[in-house]
Amino acid sequence: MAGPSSLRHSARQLRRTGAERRSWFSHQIDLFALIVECLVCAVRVSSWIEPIRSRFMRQILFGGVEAVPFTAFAGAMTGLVLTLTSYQWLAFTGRIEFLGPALSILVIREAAPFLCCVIVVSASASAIAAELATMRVTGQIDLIEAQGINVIQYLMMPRVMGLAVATLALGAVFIAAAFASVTISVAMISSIPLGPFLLSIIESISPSDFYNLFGRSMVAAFLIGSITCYEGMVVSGPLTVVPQAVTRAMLQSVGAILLVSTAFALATYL
Amino acid sequence: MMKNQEEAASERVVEIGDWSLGESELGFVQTDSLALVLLGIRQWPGPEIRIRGKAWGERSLRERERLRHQIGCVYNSSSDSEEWLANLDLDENVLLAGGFDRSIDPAQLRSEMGRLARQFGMKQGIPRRRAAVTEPADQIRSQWVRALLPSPKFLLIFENPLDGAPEESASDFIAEVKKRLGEGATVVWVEESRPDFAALGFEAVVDLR
Repeated sequence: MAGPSSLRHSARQLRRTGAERRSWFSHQIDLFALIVECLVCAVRVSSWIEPIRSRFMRQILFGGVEAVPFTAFAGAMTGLVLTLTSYQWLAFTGRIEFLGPALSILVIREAAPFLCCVIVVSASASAIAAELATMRVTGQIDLIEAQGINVIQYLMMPRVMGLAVATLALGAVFIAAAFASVTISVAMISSIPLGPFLLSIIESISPSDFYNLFGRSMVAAFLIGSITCYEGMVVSGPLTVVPQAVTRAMLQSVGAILLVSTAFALATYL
Repeated sequence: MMKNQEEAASERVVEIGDWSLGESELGFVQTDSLALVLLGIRQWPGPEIRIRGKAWGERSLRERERLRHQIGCVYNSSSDSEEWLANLDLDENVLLAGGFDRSIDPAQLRSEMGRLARQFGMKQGIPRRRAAVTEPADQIRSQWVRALLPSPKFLLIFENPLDGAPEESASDFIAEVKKRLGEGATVVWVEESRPDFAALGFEAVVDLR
């Protein structure tokens, strides 16, 4: 298995040969090595020293707290759209009693983890990739290594873990806003009594919905963080490579969200 | 005989090909930038570099980090690389490496930073602002403090260390370097043109040309 030293060797090799000459496969091996090193670092209690804790908290602030208003807005809009669509179709098929359970599944299992990850990619992942790529091309990452500081521990681990925690918290905000919007929408467009409707939502929620939400958000956010850090840290050349790294990081992150969503959907429904 | 040769080799702190420096020695290398090469971060086409008898490639990752932690550097401000992390204030930059050493008391580190800063003429201590908005004179003096913290450092690499430094502070810095040499540290001085080491008060300098 590729370890951190082989990763650094690869990163150096990359600097010499240029990204275009490396295969997709060797990139994935390097990324995998980076993810393993980051996980090992995160579970080691001794890794969480003051500079790391401070960076971790900053990441939660920038990636999570600052995205709360937009996430609440997205949750409210999604709740409205899902209510209108579901109400129309369930009324048409004569199964309106399933409105509560259907909305519960759509919001908690599907919309919240997926859209929160997309929000995190737009708001934080691009910023992380740009920051790290700029640090690489201006020699700041070399400066960190020169002081005997583990780059994965200092730069990658707190960002990745901060992003994972922030995404989970944003999921909770999204669900709260979506259900508030659902309740208002149902009250406005239908004659369904709110008490039984809300009860049907609560009764349809199972522990597996929360495992699903937790797993999807955390796994996807961890991958997003790892991909963006990797793409930022392995660039070489002039400052013009920074936007290219950001584009690559965002595309791959969206791909990772889709893969994780598909994997969890298969595991949940099959 | 073989063992003696190995012991003699391991006593050398820095070796670049045939050129080497031991404890308490000051060496001069005539070039613009060499610190990142000496630290094994950047590759170069020159002869193999050995620190304490071993090339960087022969050491594990942890060993490399531990060794680099004990090496202090002042970077050339005119090179293409940044000397500071742009998203941290200067004082945070100076304290960063020490924060990773669990054996160091943060309060003691902070007080040592303040003492060195005052010694080098910064009455208010290391500036609590980004390098981009700090005077070059304060930047170079802050680099001196960073290079010397946390002590002890067995190897000090200075790239053009007096560039932009106020004259009165430079003499304090030279005095501190002499003190560190006396305590056993090895110093590599890197500059494009050879300074007048005799005028600076250094007696023996080993040149690499």
